[in-house]
Amino acid sequence: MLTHRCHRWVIFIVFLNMALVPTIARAATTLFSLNMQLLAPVIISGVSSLSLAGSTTRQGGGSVTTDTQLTGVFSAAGTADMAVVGSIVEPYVVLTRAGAGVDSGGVVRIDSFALSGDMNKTGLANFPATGALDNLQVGAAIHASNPNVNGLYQGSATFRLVHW
Amino acid sequence: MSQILMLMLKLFFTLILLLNAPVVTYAGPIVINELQALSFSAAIAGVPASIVTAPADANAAVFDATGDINLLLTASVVESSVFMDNGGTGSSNTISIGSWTFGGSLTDVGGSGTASFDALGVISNMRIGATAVVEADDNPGFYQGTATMRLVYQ
Repeated sequence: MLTHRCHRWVIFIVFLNMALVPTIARAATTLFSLNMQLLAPVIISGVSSLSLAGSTTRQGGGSVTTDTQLTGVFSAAGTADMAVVGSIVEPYVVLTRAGAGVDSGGVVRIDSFALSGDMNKTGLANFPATGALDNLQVGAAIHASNPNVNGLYQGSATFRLVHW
Repeated sequence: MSQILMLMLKLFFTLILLLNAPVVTYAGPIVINELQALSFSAAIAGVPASIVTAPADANAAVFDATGDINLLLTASVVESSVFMDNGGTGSSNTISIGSWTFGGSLTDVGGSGTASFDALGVISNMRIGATAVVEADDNPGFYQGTATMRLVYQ
């Protein structure tokens, strides 16, 4: 009787010991968060070209800045609430008079651009909740020199929007 | 008499239990705190890419923990890979995360990290990085998910 009862107690103690071992913390876990923004591609559309034609006359070789209303206008689609920075890729652009060569009388150089509209003057803009910017304005100043003659000068520049 | 003997035996084995259990198993509980989530740099939808956040990067996951002084530990992520989603369903609304890497106060030993609690029972600046795999058909959106960080005494 004694042996039997004692034996049961030993078994109880052994199982209790085994049961306690896993309950004492030797490890811990915690959930942690992961996140990432996958952006919609920015799509730029030209609404109106930057045109200085008819508004600019040579003034003794000085620079002439376009009227704000004559700037080129772009629209863009992208990710809502994301910031972008607009810029002109080229540091300067040369406009060539139709039918003329590249002699000094047939080219006009645009050596600075101005950003406005939905962008501030540094080019920073934020896509609204609609994900659409429709008034990205780019102005320019041209440098006409004495040899330039009347005519239509044309060229192209590259407007770039980069997620900020 | 037999009852007294029985009681003494019970006390004997109980004493064994009390002496034995702490020697074999006792260690202070580990408490882990997530200080910073694991973030990945933004990517453009439609362009397959592997976006890596290294443990040393500013956007790596950062943890600290408390436990038993001077004890060695192993850190790991329970899941070999997890998925983030943008609230939608289907493979085009999920991004896979895996290839966990460990840094900061953790020594990366390939798939896990090792370190030890200091004399105050504290370990700080445990950092985890990973790789996000963006597929060409993943939709734009803000993707979120969770993973499980585990610390185990060595």
